Amino acid sequence: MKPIGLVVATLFCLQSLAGEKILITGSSTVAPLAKELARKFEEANKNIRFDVQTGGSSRGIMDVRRGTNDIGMISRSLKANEKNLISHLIARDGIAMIVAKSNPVAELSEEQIKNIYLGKIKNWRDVGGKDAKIDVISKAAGRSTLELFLKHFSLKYRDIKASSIIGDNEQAVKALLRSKNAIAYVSIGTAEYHMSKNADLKTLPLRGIEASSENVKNNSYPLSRELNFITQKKPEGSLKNFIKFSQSKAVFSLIERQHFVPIQ
Amino acid sequence: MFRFNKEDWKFHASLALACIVGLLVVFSSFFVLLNQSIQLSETHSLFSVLFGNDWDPYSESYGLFPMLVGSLFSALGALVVAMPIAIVLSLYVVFQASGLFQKLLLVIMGIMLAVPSVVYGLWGLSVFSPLFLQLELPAMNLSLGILVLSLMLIPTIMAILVFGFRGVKEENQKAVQALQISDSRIIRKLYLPSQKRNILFAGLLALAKALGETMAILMVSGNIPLVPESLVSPVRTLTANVALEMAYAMDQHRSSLYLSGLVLMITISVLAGLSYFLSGKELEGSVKAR
Repeated sequence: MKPIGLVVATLFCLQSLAGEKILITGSSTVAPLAKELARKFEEANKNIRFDVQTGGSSRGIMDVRRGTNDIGMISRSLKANEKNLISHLIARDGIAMIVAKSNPVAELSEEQIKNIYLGKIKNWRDVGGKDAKIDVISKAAGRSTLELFLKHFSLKYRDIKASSIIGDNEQAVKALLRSKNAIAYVSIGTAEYHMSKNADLKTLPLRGIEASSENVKNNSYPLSRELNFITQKKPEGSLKNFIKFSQSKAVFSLIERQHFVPIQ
Repeated sequence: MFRFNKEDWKFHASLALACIVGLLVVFSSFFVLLNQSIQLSETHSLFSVLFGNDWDPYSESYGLFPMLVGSLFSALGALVVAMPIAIVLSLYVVFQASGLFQKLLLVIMGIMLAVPSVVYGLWGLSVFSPLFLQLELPAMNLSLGILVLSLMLIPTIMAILVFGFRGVKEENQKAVQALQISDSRIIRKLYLPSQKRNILFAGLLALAKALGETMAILMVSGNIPLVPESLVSPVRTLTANVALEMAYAMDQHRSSLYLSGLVLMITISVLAGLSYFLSGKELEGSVKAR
């Protein structure tokens, strides 16, 4: 391992000689988006190089406090005891519960959704649907949608009784389209994309609020969260430029491609 | 022995280079897997990981046993299904089919070998998943995995058997014609026994392929990390586990995925070694018989 480390270290040294380097660490949910933003920003600013590392929101906070990174990434808002840091809202992330269009169920309460994923409700009949077994689709460990889902419904990963586990949003949609009696959760961006293509699926409202990126944007939809960049001080110079760039209209389509909802 | 030859030096050098590169790739990947897996042993015993039933990365529980069982069941199941079909098909191709039809069958076999696994996965999903759903069974499960895998194994096994059967057919054609023994008898008494080792060799190779298969099995198996209760329970294989979770895994979780890779690599190496050993024996045997 040591020689590999040395090679990597030298490469990093060479890189830092080439120009300014910005280190971004934190949430693995935000990381893919940050990488894309960084790549786009590098195209226009050849002398700046980014390094994006994951390690969870807590690492993002810790590194910013210690001053070992330039920007932290967190997939939530700042807590009360973190208010001395500055957050910069980049995008929002929302999850929609989806079922087949033909499914007569129009809404599920949070308690019902929870019980379906706990395996306590097994038939659509019990929640006002037709007499058919519920095909429960969940996600593999580590996916940010799974984490938000678990947190929102205060579920534990091991307690979920799914009939299939899939990787990403697209697979969830495919599995759902195949089984007319399935329920799944995906990023709102993904759900809206497929509905715009007239796919045979619909989103279920939560607490009476429709699952749409509009409602994620205005913060009324409950199953959503903020994706933030955080800094210790007010950013200056190229850091400021990068954060401004990340919040600008120019990157909206890029944010939407990552299935997140841009702000404003 | 290696003899230095002035004219051949370029040839020998490139051969040596190819060998070295090949060996380096194998050993370095083995080393990387080992190196990355060791981290897990700081907090978990090897036994608790290999035979643990509980896979829950969020509470740092990394039991690989359900995935081990999943991999073994899918691969062995597929072999059991594919083997007889492949034997019968290759017998048919070599001894019964003739002319254009025989060529056509061989071309189809070649195409089946070349089809990417994701296509087999899609095929399984679109053709068989709806059938399972109609029976109120999980849309993705162990038997669907076995079905799709066996379809991939049939051409693999056939490719090896067809050449073996052709060999014995050519060797014995005149004698068989002269004796005028019935086809079924000659196949049972001569062709099949003579190919025993070849069949075993093809089986081991197919098993290694089945264990390593990722994409198709990921798409059709349901991926629930539990030991399957029946043939229609969803299962997760070691390969699917790595493919599903590697992108987001960190620290011990990541290390446990490397360990699944290591377990697979050792199993497949043993199988490959075994099949090499057997094929070597077969060569000796046939030389002696002459």
